[in-house]
Amino acid sequence: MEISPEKLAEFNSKYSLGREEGRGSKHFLRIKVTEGALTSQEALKIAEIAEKYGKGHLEVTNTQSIQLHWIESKNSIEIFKKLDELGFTTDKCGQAHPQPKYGDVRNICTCPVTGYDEDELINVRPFVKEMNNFFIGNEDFLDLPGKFKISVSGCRNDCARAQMWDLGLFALKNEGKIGFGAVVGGSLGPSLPGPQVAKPLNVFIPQDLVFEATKSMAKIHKKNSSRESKAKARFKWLVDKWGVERVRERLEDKIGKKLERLNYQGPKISDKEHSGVRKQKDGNYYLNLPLFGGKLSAEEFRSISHLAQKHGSGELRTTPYQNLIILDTPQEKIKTLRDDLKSLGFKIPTTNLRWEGIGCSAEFCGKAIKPYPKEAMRKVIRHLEEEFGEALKGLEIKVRATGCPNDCGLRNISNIGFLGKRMEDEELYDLYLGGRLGEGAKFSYPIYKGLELQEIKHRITYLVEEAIKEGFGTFDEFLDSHSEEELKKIGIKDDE
Amino acid sequence: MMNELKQKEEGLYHLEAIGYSCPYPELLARQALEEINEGEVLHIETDNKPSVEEVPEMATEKGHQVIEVEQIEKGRWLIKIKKK
Repeated sequence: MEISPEKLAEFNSKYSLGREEGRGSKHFLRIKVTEGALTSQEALKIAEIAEKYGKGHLEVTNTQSIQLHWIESKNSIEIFKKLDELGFTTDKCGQAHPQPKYGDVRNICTCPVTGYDEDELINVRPFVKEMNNFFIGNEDFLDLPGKFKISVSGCRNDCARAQMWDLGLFALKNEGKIGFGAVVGGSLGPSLPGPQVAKPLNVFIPQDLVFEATKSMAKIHKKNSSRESKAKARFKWLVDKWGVERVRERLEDKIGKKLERLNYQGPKISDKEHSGVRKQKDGNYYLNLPLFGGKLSAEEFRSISHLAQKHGSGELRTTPYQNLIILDTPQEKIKTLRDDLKSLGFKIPTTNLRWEGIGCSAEFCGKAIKPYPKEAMRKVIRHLEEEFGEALKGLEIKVRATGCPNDCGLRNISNIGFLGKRMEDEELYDLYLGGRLGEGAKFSYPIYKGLELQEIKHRITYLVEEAIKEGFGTFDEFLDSHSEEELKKIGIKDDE
Repeated sequence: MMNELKQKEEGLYHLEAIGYSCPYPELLARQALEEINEGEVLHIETDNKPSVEEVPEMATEKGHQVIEVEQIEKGRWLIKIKKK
């Protein structure tokens, strides 16, 4: 398809394909769903694109984007034009360049029910919208040393997981005023200095400064993060090298104001999905549909979009847990919505596991031949549901699976995580326990290495069984009350 | 002629695809190969690693001859293609 040099330059600032090499797919397309918000009409168009160019397969990612696979270069301009008409853009995927350059600001992760959540501190959508309007396609922020990831939460769950991003903003109340706390330099991947829980800036950012502070932080990254090598190019390396105090001073210099000091480690509660059916501020209800790994077919996406239109306002939200939310359903229509979803094959569970289970797309990215982390996560959760049913309620178990140390599947911050091994014939995993965000944030630790999925299921079963038997309120409490050695023994009780 | 395509000498063209991620180097190369004549040579300079595979693949598929893929410095390559 012909394209003018002007349009090509514009597209180059807003669209790209990512390279991958699994399941016969050479390229993925990661559509930024800004603020996680899309209408049924937009969803139908995206389903159409997926059907025509991506074998009818879609994935909701944990950065609230929608990812398609099997995209061919020759069709890309046609696809970009369609997205342009819809007002969508994509991540810029500068990681294919081996040098520390062409990093962009990735889809800003935010609370999907902001503006609707009855308990939220503040509706953050206007702030995120202002940030997106500023960063998307902005030439000044397309050649960062490495990508820059931001989250903004206004809810009390920090559902957008502030502590795993380059800059995590979370709403808090300070002397009656609502503003933001900030943590910096988080990342789950192995690039230097390794996985990091983001460090607290310990300042109170008033609402009228949050956009300026975000812009300034991205500028600090652009100007000061290392361009020496890709391994050092993420913001975490600079935060580690400078220390938080220097980052804070530089931020204050840039915004031209001293910020009030406030003591916090990060959000107290974090990494909790807005699961189930919940009442909105306006009296209507939202329904969070667990996609259980984020995969869905174009046909399913289309059907869900029709239901959102039929039973609600047609507004949909993608969540940082790879799920979809249908907004604005009146109470009297909730049962029919549930029934209609059930007839499409979607189960609305009673425990958090399916809502909070996450798996990466390693089978596409080629970093793992086997296993398929999404499938592995689903199998383990189904197994736990069969074994324990309602007894899982309240344990707050988060099962997450990832195919490589880059940890797109979040095993580092989950209380049960597994890491796939690169194998030709076998499906092997290392099992990790004890990761969490929020108060006492820490990364998970490996407890068993190189196990088959069947064996993983057994060992997790024994651990969960013991947690239930010992009567702990949550699985985290159970893990905290035992040493690694004790847990290791509990998980292999059959062998004793 | 595309902005990125420059004639270096008789029968030799240089396409600067620096700063372009996928799919642009391949698309630009595709377009440039349509613009030049049979027997002429196109050099595509890229700093996007996947293009080192994708551009030659596309050229071969179209029946052109991939003369050489040369790494000219760290993170930068020159793909040389003769239009058939």
